[in-house]
Amino acid sequence: MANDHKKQVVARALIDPAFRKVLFESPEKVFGGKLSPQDVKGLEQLKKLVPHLGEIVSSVSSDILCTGGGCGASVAA
Amino acid sequence: MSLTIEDRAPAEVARRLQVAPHHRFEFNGRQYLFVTDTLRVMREDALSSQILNVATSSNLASALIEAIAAPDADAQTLQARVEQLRDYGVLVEDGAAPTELEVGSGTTATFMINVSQRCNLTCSYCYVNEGLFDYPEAPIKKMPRATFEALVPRVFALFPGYHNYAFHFYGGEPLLNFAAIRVICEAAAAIGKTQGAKLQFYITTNGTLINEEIADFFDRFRFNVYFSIDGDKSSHDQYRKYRNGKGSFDDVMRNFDLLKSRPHIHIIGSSVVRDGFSLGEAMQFLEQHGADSCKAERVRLRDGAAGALQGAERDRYLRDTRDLVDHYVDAIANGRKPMDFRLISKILQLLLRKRRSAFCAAGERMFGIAANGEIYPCALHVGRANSKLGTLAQGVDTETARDFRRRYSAESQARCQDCWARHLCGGGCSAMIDRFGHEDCEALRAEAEAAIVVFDHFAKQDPMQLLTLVDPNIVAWMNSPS
Repeated sequence: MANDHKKQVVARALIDPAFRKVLFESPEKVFGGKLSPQDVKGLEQLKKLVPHLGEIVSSVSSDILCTGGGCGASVAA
Repeated sequence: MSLTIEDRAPAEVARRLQVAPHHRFEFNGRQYLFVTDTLRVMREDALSSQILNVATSSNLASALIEAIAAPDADAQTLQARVEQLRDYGVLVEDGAAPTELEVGSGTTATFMINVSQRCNLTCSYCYVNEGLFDYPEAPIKKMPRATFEALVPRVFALFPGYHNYAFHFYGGEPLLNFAAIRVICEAAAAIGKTQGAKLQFYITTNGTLINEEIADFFDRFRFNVYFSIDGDKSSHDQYRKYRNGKGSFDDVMRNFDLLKSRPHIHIIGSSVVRDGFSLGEAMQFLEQHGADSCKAERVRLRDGAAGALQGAERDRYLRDTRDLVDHYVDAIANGRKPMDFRLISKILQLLLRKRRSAFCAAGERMFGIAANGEIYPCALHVGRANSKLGTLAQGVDTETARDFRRRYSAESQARCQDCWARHLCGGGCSAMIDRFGHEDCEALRAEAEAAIVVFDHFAKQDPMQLLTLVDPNIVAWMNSPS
């Protein structure tokens, strides 16, 4: 799978829930063939990243005196 | 391919264009243009400036192009640039509403727990009054056993259904009541396991009371430790003293090394930037001593108070904040998270183009629990009668919580209405606004400008590199040949 293709897929997955569903349920359809073990692992990481990303964005706008940017969203960890 | 104006239907060409709220600023010789409502960023050049300078009132697109005297640009170039400005939302048609999304509500509930409401240090800049918080009279010293033993079951009962529960121990010095921390963590682990919820544990500590037992406990529960250090011995001991006047630096550094020896503890070095101790110095010290992340935030004091950042020191803080750009760009380009993390949320908002209407989740899915079981929007509100939302026994009054969030939203605050950064900021920290007003806005806008510059640096070439801020492994996978 070409690097640019992977980046395009990830970029779309971040903003398009319907595409994301297809990607995680039938990745072969999106990538046009069987995935390498590395790509399977990469998609697993992406699956975890998407909600985490939303969590960070929705947590706190800035570093603040009380807790810093984490605020439970685990920016730090 | 975008349409040129001439490609469009006549009715569309005839629509009037207005200049949308935006912010123009310079950074290292480059001109940036940030669109308030669409969160779009573009580099501004002479032609864009000319167009925006002419388009100060409603114009027909065709009239706008005719009005621009640009000897170096032909009509087609002008049309294309006007179209680009429309695409970015700088020029908008009358009545057009932005379509960008609001940030979601998240799946993590955070509870900041005041297990102790006293401190063994006497830092004069303390913003929670050495653990006394904002109660009119001194509150109980520590959370009673009956309260902390009942706390976790009540939390899960009052706030069900979240995927993640974060417990952040706060004070005063929370380790003055380590028994409560132990019981709460053990109970959370047990209930979390039965409910399938993930757990995160945080503590904000002055670092003086940590010993082998506590380090092992933090390691077992994989704590994120906000560990306060204010630079070298002379700088640290100037403010961070025990009640007998002795400085705490030697104890703190010994205990810092103790935590570093445990593999599952994430140390966030935390410094208070103040008169004579700059942001740059704070970050350098924390990095040199092996903190995993750093949180160096300016002191909050009324002007004139000892240590308050004023005049040249304040200007330097704002300059240092903007200079975080290099810190972020260098880290992202090299595939690692930056040590500082204050810009991350804003950069990701720009990447996802999501606006925020509140600064944080306080009062929605973040709460402060006082030692006596009262519930507030966050720990910094504890003791303020007009911020109280309920109690552990009775729960949160949802209408009061809704009113609180409405009161501090960017939409409700008059000061935010004309601010270009309001969708990145969300209205500012309610606890600080409640006490100090909007004096922090300048620093928040400096952060917003820095976030815009970092975003723009990667946006054109490879925006996905910005995911390094969250998970460098994803970026490594995307960059790897398969």
